[in-house]
Amino acid sequence: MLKIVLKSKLRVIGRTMTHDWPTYFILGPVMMGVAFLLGRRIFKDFASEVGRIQPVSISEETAVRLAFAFLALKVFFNFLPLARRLYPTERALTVDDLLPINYRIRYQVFYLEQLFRDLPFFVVGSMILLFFGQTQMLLWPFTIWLFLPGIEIGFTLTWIHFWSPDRRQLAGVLFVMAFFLSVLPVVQFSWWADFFTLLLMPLGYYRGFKIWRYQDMGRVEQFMVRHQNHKNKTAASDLIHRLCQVVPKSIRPLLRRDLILTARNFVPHVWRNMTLLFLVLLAMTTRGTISPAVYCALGAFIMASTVSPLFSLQRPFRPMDRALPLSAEQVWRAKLYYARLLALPVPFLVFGFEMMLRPLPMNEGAVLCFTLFLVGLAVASLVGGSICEGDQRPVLQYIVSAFMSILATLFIAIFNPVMYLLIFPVLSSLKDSAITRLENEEVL
Amino acid sequence: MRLSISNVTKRYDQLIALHPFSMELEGEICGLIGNNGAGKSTLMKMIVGLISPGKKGQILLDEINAKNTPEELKKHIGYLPESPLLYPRLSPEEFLHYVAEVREIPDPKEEIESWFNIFGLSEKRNALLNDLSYGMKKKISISAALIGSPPLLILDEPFNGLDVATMESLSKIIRERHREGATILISSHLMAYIDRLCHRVIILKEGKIVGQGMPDDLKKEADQGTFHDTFLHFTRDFE
Repeated sequence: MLKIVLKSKLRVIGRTMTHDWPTYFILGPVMMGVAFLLGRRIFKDFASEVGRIQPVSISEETAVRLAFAFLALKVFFNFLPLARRLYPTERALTVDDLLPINYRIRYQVFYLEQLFRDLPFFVVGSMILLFFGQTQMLLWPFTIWLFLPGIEIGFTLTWIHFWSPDRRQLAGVLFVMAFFLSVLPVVQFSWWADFFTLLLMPLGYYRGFKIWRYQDMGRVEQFMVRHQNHKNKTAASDLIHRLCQVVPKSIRPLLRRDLILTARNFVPHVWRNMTLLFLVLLAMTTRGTISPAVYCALGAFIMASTVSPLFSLQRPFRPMDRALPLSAEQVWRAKLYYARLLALPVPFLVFGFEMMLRPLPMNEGAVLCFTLFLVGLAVASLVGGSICEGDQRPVLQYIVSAFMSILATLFIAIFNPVMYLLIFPVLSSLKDSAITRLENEEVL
Repeated sequence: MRLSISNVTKRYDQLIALHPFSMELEGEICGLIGNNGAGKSTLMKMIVGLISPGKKGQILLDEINAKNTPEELKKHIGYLPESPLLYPRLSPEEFLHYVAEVREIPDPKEEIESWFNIFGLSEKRNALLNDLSYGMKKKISISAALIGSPPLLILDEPFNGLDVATMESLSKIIRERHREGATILISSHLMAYIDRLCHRVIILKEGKIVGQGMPDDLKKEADQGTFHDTFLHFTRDFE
């Protein structure tokens, strides 16, 4: 039975990959190659201007504490998305729920899917260890990766069964955990990790997946509905409404819709991007002589790039836009402003961090703030402006916009802020290209 | 097979989606009707094992208990959900083969072929499900529910999204399945089909049974000429 289910799942994954093979195997490598060759040339010529990273050394004990802290954060942030996929609610129901597939097979398949989803964490964890030369610790991320899905599944099912699907209560536990992570001796960590693994994995398998998943389904579904109607959501809608007052009237409804969708998790990537932004800000503590503009550009790029999956996910709903009296330019401009709004806080966050780490005199600080603002705005504009250049494929659009963003950052931060003016002809050209693409887009 | 439902209930915080509900069903076509949110789909999902029937609730298909062995129960049930649940990147043929394999149907090729012929989908057999229209997806979903002739059919809004000719074909198939011995539970808003097809009808309102019996008896009880008006009579709000 497992073979039958896996065969069909792999077929679906294979089809998806086949559908996008020109992006993954031709366009992607070509664009990355071009970006790498040109980037290397640029960095060779201007490397001294860019600066060097400060040598970093952290003790093994700190590394273990940090690793556990990140794992706790991962479990916390993945709690609701995992619950959404775990329970056979209206939204997550699949044909497999209707077929006589026993819970053991369903669990194994779900485990494998989760393992696949967690692969980037394993890769990033291994790369960090390699970066710090800790090759002897490489078995750690591998072991954690292997067991993490079982722990997460077990934890989510158990917590929801005994407490609630509400993440706010979980936040309290996270604070308690943070306290223990900071005071407990590191040698005890592995004991606790083993204890929770041995407790949660069988509990999730024998009780959670088999029984609680069906018992608690109604509660989870009801929570999800209430979660959408929560008063914070109304507050978020009000904030979005106010934010949208600053953009041209013609694109206000489109932008408001996109921001509301983002706030309601239509693009789950926004949470990943916010985590990445946090890591970028954290990395500023070791920035050495690298210009803060580089961190600002990276942060702005990360946040603005949320526009790409949003645009791609909206494709099935595009016929609704096409049926409305909207021009292609309005659609493009709305995405441009969306990227700018999402990246707007980044320059100020980077500036704030920089001033905390290395305070500057007021006049120098003002210049830095202005430069960071221009860099952030330029990068966000280029990411948002090139939204139609990826042919609905986020990966391709990331490459195109990353390449342009590198150039814009170098021109503005290293040469002269006046270089910002160069993005206007680029945006104009991107607009023309987008209009042609949108007008010729086949509506499915 | 005999389906026995006793004391099942569903509560969402303050809202009671389904008040304690009991029924027996064997070898008949039973219609489950009610306005949106009346509890029809909730009850159907309970029978299929997707929702727990509550602490005191019990669902038995002959001797099979839905609570203890949901997989065993699903082997005997063909369930058609309201919206088609399909793998978008499989072709109709691959999808039906997958369902047949999971249901352990030996040599399903011929039956799959016959479904393509019945629904006129032979030309689309290798297209991706993602690229098919809603009506075609619905037809594939119906085929998946009926494949292997399960003895209990739970059909949630089976006529939605179908053209008139297909609705007629489906009615014929439902009658044939009944003649072969299947027990069938249908929910629909198309009162004409419920009237023509069902031996017994249960009318739900806000999770409670407000009427049940043979369509003609219900018409008499409500003193109405059509089943449409009968339904409105039973579900209207009394001041």
